Amino acid sequence: MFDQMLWFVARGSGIVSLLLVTASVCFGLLTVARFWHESWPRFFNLEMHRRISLLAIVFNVVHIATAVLDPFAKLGWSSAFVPLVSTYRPIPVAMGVVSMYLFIALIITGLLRAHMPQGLWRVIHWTSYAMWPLALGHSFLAGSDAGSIWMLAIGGISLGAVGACLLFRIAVWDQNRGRLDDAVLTSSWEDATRRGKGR
Amino acid sequence: MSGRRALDSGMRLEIDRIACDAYGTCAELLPEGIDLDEWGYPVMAPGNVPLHLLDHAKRAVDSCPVLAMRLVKAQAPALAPAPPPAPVLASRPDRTEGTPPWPPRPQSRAPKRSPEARRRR
Amino acid sequence: MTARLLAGQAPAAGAETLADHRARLGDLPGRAERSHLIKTLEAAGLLGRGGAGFPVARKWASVAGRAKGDAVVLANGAEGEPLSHKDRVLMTSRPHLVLDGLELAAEAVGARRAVLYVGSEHTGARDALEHALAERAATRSSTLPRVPITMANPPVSYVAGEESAAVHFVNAGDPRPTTVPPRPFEKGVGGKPTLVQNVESLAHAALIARYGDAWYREVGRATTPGTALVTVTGGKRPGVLEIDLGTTIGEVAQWAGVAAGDGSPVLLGGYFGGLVAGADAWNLPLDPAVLRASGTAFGAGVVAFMGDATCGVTTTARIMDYMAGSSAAQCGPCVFGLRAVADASARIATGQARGDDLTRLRGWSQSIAGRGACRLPDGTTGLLASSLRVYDADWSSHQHHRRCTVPRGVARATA
Repeated sequence: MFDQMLWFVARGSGIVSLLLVTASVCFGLLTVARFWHESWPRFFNLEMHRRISLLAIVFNVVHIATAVLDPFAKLGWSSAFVPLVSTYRPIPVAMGVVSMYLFIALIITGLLRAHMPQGLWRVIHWTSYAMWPLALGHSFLAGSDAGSIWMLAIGGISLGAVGACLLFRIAVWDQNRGRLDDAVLTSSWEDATRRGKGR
Repeated sequence: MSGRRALDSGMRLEIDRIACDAYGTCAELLPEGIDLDEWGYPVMAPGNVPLHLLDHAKRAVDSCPVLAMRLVKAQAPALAPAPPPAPVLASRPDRTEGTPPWPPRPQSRAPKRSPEARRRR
Repeated sequence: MTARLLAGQAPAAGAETLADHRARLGDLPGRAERSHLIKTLEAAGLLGRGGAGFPVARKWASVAGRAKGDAVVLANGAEGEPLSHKDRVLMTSRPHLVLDGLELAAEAVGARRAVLYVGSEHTGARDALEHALAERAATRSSTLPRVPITMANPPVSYVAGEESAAVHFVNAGDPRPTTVPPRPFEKGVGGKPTLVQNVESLAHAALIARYGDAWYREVGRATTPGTALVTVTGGKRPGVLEIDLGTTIGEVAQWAGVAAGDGSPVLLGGYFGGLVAGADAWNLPLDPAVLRASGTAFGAGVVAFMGDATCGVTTTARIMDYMAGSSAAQCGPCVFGLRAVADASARIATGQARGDDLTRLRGWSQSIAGRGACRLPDGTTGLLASSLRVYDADWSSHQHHRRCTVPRGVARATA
């Protein structure tokens, strides 16, 4: 019974991890896209993004530990930390391993953001565009639930959520920073005299 | 305005005006000290942050998605608690006229029943 | 008027050669005397001539105090203020005076490197300085330590002359202001303490090093001692003039051929300055301390006579448009605020004012200052505020009656 427990927890914590990371990516996209509303204050997106990311650490650690400790999964510790050495579904497991490393980098640079060059922080944060698809792929392919209806549904919802947020972020691409140059380059005097002549 | 003076925290807010991109989270979390102008950019109250608002100021600084805000030790620390309307000179003061000053410290919680009501019981 | 910087051959005659420079002024003082230069400058009370008027000795001392022999001196000859020509005239006609000042400053602050920061379009000044550097390299006889001097030539723009922009350009090729702190005297070119000093200030320092602080204080008619270069526009005789500080605007007007009793406003300090009303202007001494006390500023030494035939509203509107276009496009309040100011003032000037334009303009003249990374919005709205005060009747007339008080046909902006 106990050995099955590890398997259950590994699956469950993995799925929760995926959902949390998905939510974190969504809130991150909404932060940059400056989504806000009367009932959705501006500070909400970044706060949720940070807090959910930190919560995801817990579930990630549990997922990795239980998956490795599960005697029936036949994953050694090396499978969790070295991509492609796993004998069980090497590529899907490797996707999880790479995603884990990127996640660690994102967490560390996120916590230390104020103490590092912002250019470096930004480049590392862009790797989240690789981290999340790898996590999603790992979820779809690596687990024993792969192919089941509800796993596909969870994956589909995650994909939909991130897709929607990404489309929104692209749609509002040019926020303030882009408009600065335009405002400087116009000429008030020329516009006014041209309008005046037209009268 | 009530006669209750705000204690000075000895810290003031600084904004990196180049990094600031009008996200506006600072004004949400510290409305007592930060207003947004018509283009969404912050207008700060002059002087140091009052002590009772320091925690809120820290949250406001943390909330900026581009880390454009900072809390720094004031150059000339006030020797006595500064009255709210008088601005303390900082090395790069925001405009000091026309900006609404920091509000005074709120009154301590009023008793649930007035003394008269309590006496009547 | 005492000629000091411009003593010797007329500026129109071109660059003074090294031989003439040495013949006229003699050698630089010995090392013993030079070691007290910062104290001498302090005793002289020399103020910076780049526009801010900051005491030169204090600036040098703050760099010297931080440097460990690795400081940098940057001679600021960017001159992005369109109404100012004095730095160009000085660099073109007295390059050796500027270079003397640069080398003296380098020694005084413990610098290992010097930069000549001259706008790329100021070709006369660049050529004169390059030629002067070649002359000095060929006949090295001074006891000053050799400091490598390089040229940096930013595109001519208003903000390029700002000290953090100068440092940014030398470090990264980007002539836009950066966020301070750290200020250049703390961390500048190559991360080292950097002295950014206007070329005219360096030239004055070069003379004070030779003749002493008492000599410097011999002239000066009001509070501040010394001479200064001013650029005069308007009137029959525009040009660059060296005045004793404290000379009144009226005397300069006489020199410039501006009609006596012309009560029209005067623009002091340039686009970063302020307007003084004609009636008050004539007796106002051109002295940084006096001008600051009376609410204007000496700035970069521009004295522009507006003349009666100038529509003050139009002139201001065009200056606002120019300044809004000069923004480095980094800070929202500057970009959007100055653009709103330019739009509103252009509408008012051309008789297309909206109902609340003038009210909003008055509000913006107070609310934009101090909210950018550099002082461009401060200077611009300062000029706006002084225009709203001095030309109050004209602004109202344009706003409410769509009528210009200057007769048609002669309304013309000087800028």
